[in-house]
Amino acid sequence: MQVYFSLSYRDVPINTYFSELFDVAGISLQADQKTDIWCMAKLERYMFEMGGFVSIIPRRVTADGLLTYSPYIARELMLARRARTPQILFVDDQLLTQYRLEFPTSAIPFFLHAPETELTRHVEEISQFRRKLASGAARPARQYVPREATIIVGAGSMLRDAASYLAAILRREDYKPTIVPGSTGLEQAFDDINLFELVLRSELCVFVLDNDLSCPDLLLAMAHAHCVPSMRFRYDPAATSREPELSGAVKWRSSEDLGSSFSELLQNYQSAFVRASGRDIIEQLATPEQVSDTLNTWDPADGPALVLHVVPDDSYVKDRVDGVIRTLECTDTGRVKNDAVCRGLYDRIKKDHFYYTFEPVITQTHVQRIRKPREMDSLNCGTCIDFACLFASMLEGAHERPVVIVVGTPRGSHALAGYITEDAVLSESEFTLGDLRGAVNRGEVVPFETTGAVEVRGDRTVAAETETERKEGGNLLDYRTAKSAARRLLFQRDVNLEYCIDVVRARRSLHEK
Amino acid sequence: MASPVRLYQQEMHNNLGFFATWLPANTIELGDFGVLEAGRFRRVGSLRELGIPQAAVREGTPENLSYSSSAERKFAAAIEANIPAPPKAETGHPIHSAEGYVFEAVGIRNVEIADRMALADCILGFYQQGRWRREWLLVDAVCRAATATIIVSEDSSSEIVLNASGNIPLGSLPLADPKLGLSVSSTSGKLVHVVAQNDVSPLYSCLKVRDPLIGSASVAPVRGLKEKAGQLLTRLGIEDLLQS
Repeated sequence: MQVYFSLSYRDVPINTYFSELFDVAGISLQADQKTDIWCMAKLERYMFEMGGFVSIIPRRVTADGLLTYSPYIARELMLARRARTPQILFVDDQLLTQYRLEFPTSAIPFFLHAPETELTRHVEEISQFRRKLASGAARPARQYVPREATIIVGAGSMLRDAASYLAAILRREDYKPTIVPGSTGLEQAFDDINLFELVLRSELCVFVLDNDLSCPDLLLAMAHAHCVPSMRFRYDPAATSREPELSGAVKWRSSEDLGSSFSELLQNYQSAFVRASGRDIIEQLATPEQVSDTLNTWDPADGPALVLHVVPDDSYVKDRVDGVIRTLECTDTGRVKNDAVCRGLYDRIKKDHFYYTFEPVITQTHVQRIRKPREMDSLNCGTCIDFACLFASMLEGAHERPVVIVVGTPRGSHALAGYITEDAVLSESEFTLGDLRGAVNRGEVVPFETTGAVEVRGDRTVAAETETERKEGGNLLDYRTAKSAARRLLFQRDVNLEYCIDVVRARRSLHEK
Repeated sequence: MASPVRLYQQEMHNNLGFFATWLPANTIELGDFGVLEAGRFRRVGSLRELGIPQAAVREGTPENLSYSSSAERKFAAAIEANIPAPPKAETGHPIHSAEGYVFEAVGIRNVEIADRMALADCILGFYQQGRWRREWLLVDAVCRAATATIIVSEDSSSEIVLNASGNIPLGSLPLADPKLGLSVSSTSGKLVHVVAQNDVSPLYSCLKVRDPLIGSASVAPVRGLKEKAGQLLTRLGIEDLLQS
């Protein structure tokens, strides 16, 4: 008995708690592996391939202290309700109190920090859900013709060419695409029963939409209402990003964008759900796999190239920096001001509730992937080097002088960020470990453990912080402890300095080249 | 400079980022200026002698430090608690290789000139008046220890035997701790040693005027006063010391 498992990836303990209860009940939870591409068509596909729908909805606290929950989970829940899939929902009790009308009346509360308090009720509800599925309530699988794809395209030669391009990609992947011009009038769109049936029996529909609402949008609405796996591409000459929106729509302005986006979505669509059973697998699910080809790679043999991953003009970075600088109440100058800015940025990132994850697997063994800030924002996670580059970007955006430090330790390489005070006097040659330690001792370079601003799953530590420090900070580190942990790491006797990149100096050097 | 001393200098710089004062008991004060010669700081004068009042300083928190390399420590005699006379113990420090040293400091803290901007301005002013020489270095930070024991072998094999007069088991306290009441019993081979010496400055760091200041002027974007000190001054690296 397989069911669709909708979960908040970062909340491993609560997911593990419920997955164990479902395991005991003989219900197999199937979940989507976290990736960098949000693929609605895949979710629509699995909504019908599974007998039921299970959702665990923990709360999130925004930077303003407001209670909320994942918009992606909300979208999955909406899909399940629209598809009338048998469902069982466990919702954080505080969310349920605040957003009662947003959830079905059957939603069951849980207390996030001690869900076992209501274990008996949870077991009973799961047992009832199992009985319901076993007695024939399980959703029958959708009837469709495998590998049949329908492309519905708006008016104009450009959209027609785009549809041909997508059809070619589908044929390459062994699909049998049919292109249907959707340029008829609205009345005909309502009445074209043959087209409607074609949509229903296709394994996959692809909508190539104009910038303005038109007849294909109406057909998309029909497919959406029936939860037919659909990819949505809307031409928009002003598009700035080709990342899928929450609705599943992808904006494109060139055939190159369209081809890349479609290939990525199709690759994700074709990947299978994973059985979510046991803590290890649930943790693995939360480690994003890379689907998009916009890899941001760094060759660890080329330290100064790290500076290319420090992006103060990134929109996420700018937004956070502007917010911090606007509210910074510091009239001091010099080191006090440098530290106030860094503390402000650190505390701001803490409010975004990121979590620490591992590097995505890539086939190129000589390079490391570094996520862009916007990508981190959408995935809500990152590695130590992702966060080091993010903080360096923010510090530079705030007109501070950032450093990115990479050290080798017996546990592997680790990255820190830091800033150089404005009164610092440093050697003109490349930093040695001794130079760096001296600068830290004199307070001219102030490093901090960037992963202290993000949650670490399980009772773990990332670098030189202690488990007690993590626990005391609620799985995070306060700014002072983050600085202390970084200093501790740098002064360990078994570390070696791989790189200390003074971003400003590295940029000057790149410019001179 | 003998290679063991060179190693001591290199390792202490790698450990803490400061130059090791050589000889260890030499006095180096904040605001001293001078030159490096054969791994030693040779004092020429001080800012005070140039008429500059004592600059404001910033002090770090005292801590204990212990570093050693290729030094073997033996505790030769046990202390009997029931011995009526003041107990005595010996600890042998045979240093078997040419690369041995022991550095132990109690209550060591970083003391540095706080206002680097003013310092940079001041030195630039002196330089423009012809009162500051390009090759001069300024000590801007020293590590002051309440007590320190520093033993550096200058030989392929050397040994020092220390007597402890305190009523405290050996090994439980740093060798720099005055409670041990350490004194040198005997030495063999070539050694430089400072044993439980009070108020020493075993580490320092120094600055010099940057070369571009003397060369051609450069144009940079206007971003306020940031990096001013760093634009005028530069810090010496360990190679500057070792190659002096």
